[in-house]
Amino acid sequence: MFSIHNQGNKAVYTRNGEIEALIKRIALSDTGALGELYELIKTDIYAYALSKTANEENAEDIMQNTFILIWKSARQYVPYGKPLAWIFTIEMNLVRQHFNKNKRLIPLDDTNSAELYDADFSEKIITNDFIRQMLSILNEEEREIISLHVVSDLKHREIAKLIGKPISTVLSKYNRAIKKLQRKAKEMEVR
Amino acid sequence: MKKRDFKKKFKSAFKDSTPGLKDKIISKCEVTDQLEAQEPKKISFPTLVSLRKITAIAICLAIFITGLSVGMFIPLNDVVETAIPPKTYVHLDVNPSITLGMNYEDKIVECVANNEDGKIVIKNLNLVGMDMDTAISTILSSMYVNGYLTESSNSVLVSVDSHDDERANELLNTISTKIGTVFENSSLECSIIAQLFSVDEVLLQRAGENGISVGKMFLVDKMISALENYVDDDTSMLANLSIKDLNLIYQNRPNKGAQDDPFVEDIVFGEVGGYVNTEVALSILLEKIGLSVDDIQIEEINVGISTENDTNKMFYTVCVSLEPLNAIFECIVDCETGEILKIRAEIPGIDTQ
Repeated sequence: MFSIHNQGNKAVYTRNGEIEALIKRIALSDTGALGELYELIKTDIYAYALSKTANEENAEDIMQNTFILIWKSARQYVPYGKPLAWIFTIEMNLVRQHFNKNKRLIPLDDTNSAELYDADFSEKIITNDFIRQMLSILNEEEREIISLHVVSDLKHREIAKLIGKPISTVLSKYNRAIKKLQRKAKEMEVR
Repeated sequence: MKKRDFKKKFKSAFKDSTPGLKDKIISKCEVTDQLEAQEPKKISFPTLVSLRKITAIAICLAIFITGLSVGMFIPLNDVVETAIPPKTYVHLDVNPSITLGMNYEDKIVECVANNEDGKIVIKNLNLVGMDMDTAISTILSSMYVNGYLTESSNSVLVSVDSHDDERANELLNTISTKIGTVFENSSLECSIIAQLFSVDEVLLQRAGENGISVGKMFLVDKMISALENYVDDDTSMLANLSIKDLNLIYQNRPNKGAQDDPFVEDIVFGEVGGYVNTEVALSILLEKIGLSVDDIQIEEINVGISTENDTNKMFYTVCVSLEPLNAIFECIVDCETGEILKIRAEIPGIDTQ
């Protein structure tokens, strides 16, 4: 008799369950739960904001506002097993508002041209040398996909749904980005 | 730097850089609540939307009732005539490639052969209207009868495309179990890769360009994305491999089961038929060099592809080390025959081929 071995990622499923339970408590105005949620997902939220804005100050603002909006909207959250997608949707809207407010040119195509991005990768803007060097060689879309997959462990399918792009696009951009990053990391090691 | 190590370092860098804003955020939330408590209550937009919603529902109900009375609805069992598109698609690839479209009752409403072998399999089969279980059994039986499923060719790729994630997961489990049962009844061992995916225009185009099904194209794209050994330029080569060969690479990928394994969502079971497995490949090398598994350290066992003479040949690279001598033994083993194609020993002071 054969047996099916489902290689489901138990760690991710547990994490999602934990986040949903915290959102439920936050809906009841439990600030302790908000604190716990902060500790659980702070890196995911910060990494995404930094990948989009390439600016620590702006990323911190977006991060704060994301948690504030979670606090305000927790009652409207309907549990469906993917709370991170809901949270990232909130954050993505905040990022969009940030760009609109600052009237920043948002690149619409896949061109990896430095002129399209007004992201400043100086030490004043991103103090962590490794992060700065890594993010500076990627375009905005690549930074976004890398952050969602590598830092937040979202599956490519989930990322495709979240950012509204075909999954094959997500896969190929991710593939290109990770190879670029590995090459850069190797260069940095040699130096 | 290996991909796994790089990802760990990347994630860790962000973890270390994340600012500590918890208290500030909580304090802002408490202030926000206090301010909102002081504001006068307004009629909220959702209330207005609800009125519109109710009106819309009422209109739809009216149309529905009118429609019923003039008989404009076609019974769902007359699936060929219905305009309702399938809710879920299931793609089966062995090397015959077949796509089944199912409605919300898991009844087959569409059946398409994606290649010539697929056409042979479904010729004279009337699958439309059947339930999914029966259709799968029928297709597999036809594949077996037509010689596409044998002991040495037992790999099946199942790809489910559904808008309902939960349902899709359930379906994936059900179909995989069903396929396993059918194989068991035929006294065959099967090896299954079952994956969830979404079909979009880009995937359709790429599948068309490479002359393969969307399910197989998705698997190839995933492998290129996840496996260090393969780049975009290898797409054509991987697309030309049989499901059996893709299965062999897939099942022997270096980071299988690790935390960063990108294939964790897939259901996979069964040994790939027709090829020696990695344990056998290792024992072939050890027998040749007169050592046992306790004597050595396994450095790597990888699957490779040789495309010499326009045919794809799968081989293992097996590499072991022997501590006391600091020696390395490496060989290339033919996956099909177990024949050693090349062997090399590296012992300090001596280099043997």
